[in-house]
Amino acid sequence: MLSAADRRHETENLAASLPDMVSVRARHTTAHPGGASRQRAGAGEDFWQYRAQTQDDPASVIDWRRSATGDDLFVREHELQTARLLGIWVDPKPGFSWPDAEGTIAKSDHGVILSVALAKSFCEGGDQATVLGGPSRARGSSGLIETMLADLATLEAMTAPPPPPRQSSALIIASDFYGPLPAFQNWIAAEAGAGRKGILLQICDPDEVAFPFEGRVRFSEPAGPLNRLFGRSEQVREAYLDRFAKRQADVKAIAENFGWAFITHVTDQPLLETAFACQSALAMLDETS
Amino acid sequence: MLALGPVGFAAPLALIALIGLPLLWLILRASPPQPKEIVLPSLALFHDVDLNEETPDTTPWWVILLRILAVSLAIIGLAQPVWNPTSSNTEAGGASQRELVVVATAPWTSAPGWSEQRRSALAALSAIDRDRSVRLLQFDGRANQANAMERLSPQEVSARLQAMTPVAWLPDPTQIEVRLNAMDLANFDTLWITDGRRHEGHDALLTLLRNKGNVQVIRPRQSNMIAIDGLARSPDGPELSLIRSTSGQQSDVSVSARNADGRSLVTLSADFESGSQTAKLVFDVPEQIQTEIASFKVIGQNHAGGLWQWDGSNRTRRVGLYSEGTPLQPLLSDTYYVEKALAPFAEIVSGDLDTLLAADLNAIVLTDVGQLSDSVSAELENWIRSGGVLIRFAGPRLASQSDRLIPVRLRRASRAFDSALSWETPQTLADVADTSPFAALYVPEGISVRRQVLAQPDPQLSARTWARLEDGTPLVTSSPLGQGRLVLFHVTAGPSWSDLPLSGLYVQMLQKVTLPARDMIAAVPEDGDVQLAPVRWLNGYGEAEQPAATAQNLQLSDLAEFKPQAGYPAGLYEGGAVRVPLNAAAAGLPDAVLSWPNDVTLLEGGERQQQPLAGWLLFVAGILVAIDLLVALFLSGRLRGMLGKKTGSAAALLLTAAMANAMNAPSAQAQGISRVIEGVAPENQASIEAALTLRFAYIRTGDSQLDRVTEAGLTGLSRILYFRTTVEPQRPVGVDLETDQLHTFPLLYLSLPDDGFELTETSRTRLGAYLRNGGALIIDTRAGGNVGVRNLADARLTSLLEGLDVPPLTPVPDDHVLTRSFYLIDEFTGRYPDRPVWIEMVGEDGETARVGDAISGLFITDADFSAAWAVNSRGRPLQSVEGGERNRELAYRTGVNIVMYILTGTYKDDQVHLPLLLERLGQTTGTSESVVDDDDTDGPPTDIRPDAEEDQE
Repeated sequence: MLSAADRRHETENLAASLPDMVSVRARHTTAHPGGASRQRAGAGEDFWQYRAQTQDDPASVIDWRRSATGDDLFVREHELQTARLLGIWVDPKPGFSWPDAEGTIAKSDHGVILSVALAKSFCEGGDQATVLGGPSRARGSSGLIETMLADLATLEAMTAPPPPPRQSSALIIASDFYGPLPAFQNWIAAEAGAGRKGILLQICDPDEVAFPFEGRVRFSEPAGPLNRLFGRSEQVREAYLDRFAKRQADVKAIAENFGWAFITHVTDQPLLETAFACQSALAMLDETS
Repeated sequence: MLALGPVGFAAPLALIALIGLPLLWLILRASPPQPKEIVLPSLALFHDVDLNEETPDTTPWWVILLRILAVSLAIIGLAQPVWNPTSSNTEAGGASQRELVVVATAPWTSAPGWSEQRRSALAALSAIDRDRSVRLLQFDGRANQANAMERLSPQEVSARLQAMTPVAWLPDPTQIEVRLNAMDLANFDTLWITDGRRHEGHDALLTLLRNKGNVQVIRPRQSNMIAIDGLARSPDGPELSLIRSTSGQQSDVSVSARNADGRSLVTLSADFESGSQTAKLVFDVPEQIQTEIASFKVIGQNHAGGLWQWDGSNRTRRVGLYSEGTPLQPLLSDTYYVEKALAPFAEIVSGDLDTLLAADLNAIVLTDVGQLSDSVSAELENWIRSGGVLIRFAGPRLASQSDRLIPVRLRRASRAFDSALSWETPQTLADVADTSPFAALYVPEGISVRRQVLAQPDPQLSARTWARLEDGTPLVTSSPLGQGRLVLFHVTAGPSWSDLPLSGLYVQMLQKVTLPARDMIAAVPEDGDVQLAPVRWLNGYGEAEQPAATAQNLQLSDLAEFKPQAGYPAGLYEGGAVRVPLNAAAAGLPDAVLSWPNDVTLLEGGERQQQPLAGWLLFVAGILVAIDLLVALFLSGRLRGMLGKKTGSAAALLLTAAMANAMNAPSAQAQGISRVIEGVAPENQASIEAALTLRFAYIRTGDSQLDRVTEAGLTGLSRILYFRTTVEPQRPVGVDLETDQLHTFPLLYLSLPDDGFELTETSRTRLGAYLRNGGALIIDTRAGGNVGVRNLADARLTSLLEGLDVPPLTPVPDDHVLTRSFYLIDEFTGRYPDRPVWIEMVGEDGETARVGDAISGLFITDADFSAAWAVNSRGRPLQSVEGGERNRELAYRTGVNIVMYILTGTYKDDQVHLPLLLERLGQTTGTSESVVDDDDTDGPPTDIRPDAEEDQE
């Protein structure tokens, strides 16, 4: 586990090396530009146009100042602005913050760094982000990293992420997805039903991917009751790798089923690579929405 | 002792333990190795299947064999087996209970085989009865005479022999006889440790010993020994005479000449002809090299006899240089040129004539001295007559008048060539005559003489002239006077009259004219009252060592036939102006005793002796256990990580690595995040980690209550820094000045306990080094006090700072950078408001911190900062602050400022001139006033401190 200061440092580093989402989206031209103006009338803060009053308009919307200059009645319209909200969640269960020895890099470290850095780059375009189940409200780019890191530290273990705020449109869920899948599937089904898209970011330890153990080994789960003794652990490798691949395929199937993206990251890979992959995935999600 | 063939067991009962081996075998078969414990989150994937695959795991047969072998080796080793045990009844004196006298001599002749010889002696001693009383007659120059009277145990004798080293003198058997007789024993057995050479009186001693009882002789193994036993002067250079112990076949031997530092200058090879015991070797080397030679050494002969110290009585010139007072232009004076020319080969003494005559010289140089007073010149003449050389140089004064001490009569004026009223051109040197000592010298062209003194024509002039000019006028003349000689250079010693002093010829001429060396021994007064004090001694190996504190002086009158002996080993002795080397082999190399009587037991060093085997067996057993450990690790699969990465690393490394792996250290998987530096040992990793993380430290005072508050205080300050600045310190730690590394901490905090804090010597040194190397120390007396009282007089502080290298201290001036390094503050507040902080006075008086970038490393205050900063684990303040929370905030700001000052130095000092700069830029004075006088209530204005209200931007 990394210390809080290290996490912050690495997150800031990563965020600084990521392009902001606006420029990523620019490559996917059909994507709508976040909280920026949508160039049509709607709910927003900026003035868009005056138009003649129609019969549908109540008297209260008439802009009297403009109307007083002539005989016609005008309605003042604002430009449509929609701020998007990105929700992130990093699995707080003990098995995810492993290896938990001082000075080593846990899976959750990478999860936190990746998701917060992505949120930061997401918000550079004027959007907002929040931590699912976190105490703070959604906020924009400024001060985001500190707030999110603090919020993520307060999360408590649960089988599926807490429900996101109503207005959120994209989600990043970082976990190892070793837990029971049905609860997760239900959760995603609900969110996808509400029109939200997102990324399932699976983060694994190299040892979990390769299962490099040999000899007589007693395996146990971090903070869990499960333990298994293998006299020749190299003989179990095949079975293990099968199960591991199957689990990945299952999660991926769930993700694709609902139009979500599924990205796997192993902690010995460079962070930046995965971060780029996630950014592209976010932009692609925009496109399909 | 139980003997089984060539092996004996000192503790045979231990062998009984071998019965237990079958039991061990049963136990090992039954217990499989422990499984390795691994935590793996993805095990959750197996939650629904029961894959508990427990293969019945037994230990393989060869592992059992390995372990049983290791255990049996260990058991046999503990039984203390001995190879080739010597039964005690073959030893000196046999089973007799007569007293044993150990006569131990270790002259340089036994030096080459001494360690083996000593081992044999110790083995012989170890074999004799422990209760037998032994007397030791030790001849190594150190032993106390009284020791011989003592009854010792064999162990004590062994201990003394263990410390014995060869000496650079030969034993005197008659002396040994005297000592033995003094012991007054009717009969005794003897263990005689000797070099096996026939010294004078050897036979008498041997007869005496044989009459008294059994004799066992331990002598070194016979080897070919070569020594230098003399040096003579030949025309070509020093001639060494070499001697070897056996007159065997023809052989070559290399001898190197070495300078005073022991560096080899030149190595020549001498040739022993077949059947001849001696050889000669002439060191035909240039004079310059000869002057450097300090000793000769036979290569490969590590004993004092192989070394010949050459005192240089045949070569060193001691030359006196007459000078009175310091010349106005020392580098232009004549004596400077003489000194430069003489320095490479002569020892120079300068002073007035009285000094020179008192010093023991072989030549005196006078540069342009016209007339000496009668008394002095009479003395000088006496000195010359007794063998001195007087060398004079001409000059204006000598040209105008001269005394009698010149080789030729001179005209009363100097002759100038090439002057305004002269048609003559400067003269060059003619070739020198064969009769002159300069005959062999090469005369370079282009040396011109512009002025000289001229000799009166004289019949003897031609004979007395050693060098002349082209026109035949003399340049150097010389005449004998008594046993000595007068030499006159007709030009100045400096370049004012001629180019001669600028040429190499000048040096060579001076070398020749100072050559007639006196015979040192002859110079010693006849009555022999000169005492020679030892300068250095040689040990038996020919290495120089300090003379013992009890060393006595040597009477020189003895010297002619003096041989190195007890108390006067070979070495270098000095007295008055004489340096006399005493060479070990000067008296020759005694022949080896070839035939010993039959009743003498003869033991040679290095002969077969009993060999304890226990160490070897236990060593092998240990290796087997280590292999077993590796095997066990391999069987349980824990060697995987290493074998993959580091095949071929050394076994020891493998072992430690295996242990590290066994402790389940997670491998460094540092790709994106890299704090772990590869290729660095784990113990260094800790210091790297310490250097990479910033943390503050406090000095543990021993008052645990106070230390807790200090730690809490630094924690509070660290929190504030973390929240408000880019400084993100980790948890503070307590350090012990004596043991902990200090250099990784930017800041040490010391809260003085009420009863004071004493620094030990070590911690004072370490703290001093820490401060000198850029560390910072805050000393807080926690005394508080009234606003009016600004001094820090405190007995605790005084005793603490005593001995610590503390520069003068001064209160922080108003415009010091400390008041603006992060927050603008105008007072330093801790638990007590507005207290003074004293810092090192960096610049001149009153000019603190304006000079250069130096910052103060020492902060002394009584404001009790740490109490004001202290927070508990939840961030709640621990102690009250005078003036309430507002002052606590000010205390934090003070702390932040101090830390910023320590970390960034005078970086913010530029702002001292800010008002002035703003004024120059045309700002109104009002603006600049507000900048300076801002009273920090809501942080300083952003224009000068953009990072003040940091956070998110």
